[in-house]
Amino acid sequence: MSSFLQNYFVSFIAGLLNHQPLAWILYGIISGAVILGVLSAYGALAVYAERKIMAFMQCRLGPMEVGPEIELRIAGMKILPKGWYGLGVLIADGIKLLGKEDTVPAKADSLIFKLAPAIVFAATITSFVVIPFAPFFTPADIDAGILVILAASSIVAVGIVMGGYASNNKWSLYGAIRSVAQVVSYEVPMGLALLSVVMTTGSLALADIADNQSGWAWNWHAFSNVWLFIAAIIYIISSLAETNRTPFDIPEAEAELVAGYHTEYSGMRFALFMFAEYINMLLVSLIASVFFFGGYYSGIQWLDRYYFLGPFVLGAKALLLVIIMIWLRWTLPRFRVDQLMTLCWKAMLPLSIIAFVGAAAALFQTSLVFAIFWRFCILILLALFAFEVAKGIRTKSISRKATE
Amino acid sequence: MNMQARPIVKEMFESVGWLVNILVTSVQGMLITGKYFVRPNEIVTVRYPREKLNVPENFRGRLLNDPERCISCELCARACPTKCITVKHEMGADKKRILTEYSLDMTACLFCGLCTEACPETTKNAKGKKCLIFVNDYEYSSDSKEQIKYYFKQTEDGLARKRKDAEERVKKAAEAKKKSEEAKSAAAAIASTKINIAEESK
Repeated sequence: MSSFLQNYFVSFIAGLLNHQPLAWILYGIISGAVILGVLSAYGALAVYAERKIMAFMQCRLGPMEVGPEIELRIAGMKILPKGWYGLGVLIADGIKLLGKEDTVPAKADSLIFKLAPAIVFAATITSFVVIPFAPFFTPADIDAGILVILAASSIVAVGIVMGGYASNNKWSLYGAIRSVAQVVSYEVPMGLALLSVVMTTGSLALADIADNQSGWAWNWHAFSNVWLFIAAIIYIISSLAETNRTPFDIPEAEAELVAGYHTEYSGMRFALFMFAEYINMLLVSLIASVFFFGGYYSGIQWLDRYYFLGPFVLGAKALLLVIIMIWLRWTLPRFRVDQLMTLCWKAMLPLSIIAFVGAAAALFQTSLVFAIFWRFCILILLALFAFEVAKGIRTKSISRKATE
Repeated sequence: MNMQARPIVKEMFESVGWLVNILVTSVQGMLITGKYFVRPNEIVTVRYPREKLNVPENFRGRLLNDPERCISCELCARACPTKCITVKHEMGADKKRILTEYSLDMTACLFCGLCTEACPETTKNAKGKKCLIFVNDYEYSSDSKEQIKYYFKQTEDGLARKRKDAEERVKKAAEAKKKSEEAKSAAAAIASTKINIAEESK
């Protein structure tokens, strides 16, 4: 059912061409091209967004000079005041990366060195085919979609190891070692967090998981059950580690490792690594949205039947999570290696096991009282959290006043 | 680190507490960075060619000499620790110096301001400004060293006028001398006649 549009499209083309396999190939090419095109646009804009957000948080302006003077008006309303926004850096950066010399270190393992960015990029992009973008539309409707995603994200680690090893550079190698240690560690709590959702839904297909969350926003997995709420938080934290983003960016810790596993890369190969990182951010955000935050459902029951809203709703949720990741990056310093491992094995793994067992227990009681009880627990957790945050801010401001 | 074996459950609880603490403090930090993100007025960047900072009144930008007023005393050239000032002058008819060219090598200047302190020429200006001053202009970088050596030349008219002035001053001085000599000789004549009269009266 979830691949209704896909089947319709393929049978339509097959009817035109009178050739079933050719129709499937055509379908693959078209959907792949659409995904790649959207991802390219996203990659460029994400870099721009990252630079701008970083700049504003540091009281700077960010890219301002390259590009035309723009005044954006929609229906006479000023969206952007007249000024320079440096949008030309998107093109300038692309040209710069294309024009740079492609260097391979003399003692590097040249074949593996050249293969690594391609593998990282391809493995990252592969996962997009199983994401359900709208009801009845998943590019490749695989019954065990989540396994594809987990497998592909592990192949990314392989690509990183290849890059780090082949560079013949101690920084690259250390970066690769750290990256693998981190990814392998954090896949455990991440897998358990995803597994508790899979258990609740009873399906490994992402479309079924998304369909399970239709209706109002409290039907979303994260808000349906306190255990899945904890699982959502664990997933978001470990997805940060999975994408090698701050505060988990020890694989490319600038202060210690120059640039980690992509120290020796230049030009377009480096661009592929960067591109893969940003796409990976979008990917984990999409998975988080699909698994915990309602997927393509907007959380308003009346809008559920407008299927065309699906991609936009999903995209908006994922982009919000990406912005939160960028926000987090420019707020926190990075963890030490031992802190990283402590956090994973001593804190997140037990918590994810507890969440998993709790989610299993919650499956036995589906009555209304329990449904309300579990959601009430989320509210209590959030209230306690907000109280702690407010308390910290208040004591800080009081102590600042005292010192003044 | 404490290498003793600790109860695993206790350690786990501590770590979970640490995780919660991390979450709380991250949100607090994110609120701070978010606060700066939504405040566009606090941006400190100055987009230099488009906007410029106001420099203070006594800013030492670059040196400026007024060849019209300069008396070629060379006090500035002597005060300069890097010897970046050279003064060329000619002698006027009245043995006073007339500036022809005042050259400043800004590649060697270290902006100590000793030359401007040494400059004695304050009298003619109503505002009390010296003839050698620092101006606020700091945008004089250039492609070649030659372009930041400044030559303050006396204009042709100014030179001619100053020579003329000097000659006139010599003339006046000569006239004054003549007059005073005449007066002196007259006085001497009077005095000698007085003496003669006195002698005669003896």
